[in-house]
Amino acid sequence: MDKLHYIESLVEKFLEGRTTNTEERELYEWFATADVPEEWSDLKAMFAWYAAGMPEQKAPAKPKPRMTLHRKWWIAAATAACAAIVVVLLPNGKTEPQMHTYNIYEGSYIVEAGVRYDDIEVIEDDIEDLFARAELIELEANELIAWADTNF
Amino acid sequence: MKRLIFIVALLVAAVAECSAQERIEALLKRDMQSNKYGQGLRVAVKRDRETGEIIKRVTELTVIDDKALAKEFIEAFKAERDTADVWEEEANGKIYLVTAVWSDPKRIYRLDTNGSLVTVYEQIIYKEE
Repeated sequence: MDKLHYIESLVEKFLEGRTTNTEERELYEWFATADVPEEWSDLKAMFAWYAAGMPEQKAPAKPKPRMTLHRKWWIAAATAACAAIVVVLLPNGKTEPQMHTYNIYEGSYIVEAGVRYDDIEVIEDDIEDLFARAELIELEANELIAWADTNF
Repeated sequence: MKRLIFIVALLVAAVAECSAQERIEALLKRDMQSNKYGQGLRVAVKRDRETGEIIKRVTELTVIDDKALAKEFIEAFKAERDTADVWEEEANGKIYLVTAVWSDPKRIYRLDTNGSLVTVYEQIIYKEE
């Protein structure tokens, strides 16, 4: 299987939600570095977004103004003051490492009358309702499994 | 293009799927791509907040007023009866309810037909919470 076919199969797995973390990292890296075919440009953008940790929205690039020495001094002083406040306020003096978090419902979607909705903020209540129903059905299934284990 | 790739991915996955519930899965995926039934479809994915890994995927397809499709789903479920690890079936007049469970990974399927309303439900649990 050549590389493109291999990547295609990984993309299929990804869309099905069956990829491992290693495979997902492989996809992110490949789409970021390889010569991606034109027809996969949407996928390239999608994987770049996932690789960036699925940011809520892209911040527009702003030109950086040149800093004067005076301004740099004030920034350094403010940073030092903030650091001092953090050290004083933390009870044990330790800082927790920043953890990157994912949107737990990312990839969910709804189709109604042929229209697809995938804005998680809009469909979140529907998704939570479905998970609530899923939990009930899973409980019933677990009871069935327990009954089968006991009787067979 | 992304939509086309997604549809192709679903088709390939439908063909490649060789797990025990393949008939139900294939039928479900076929109808997930089709709008001709005016169905309601919900696909809910739950991920690990820290790793982004998928923990659970739930799909619910609702079809109204389509006896032919209801029959297809009933036949698909019945055809998989012997492969299921757990199977429960209830028939009462216009109501026909099936719950089927497979393991590794745990997959729960339910078919609920009540007159003209058919609900097909799939839950795949990749990791217990």
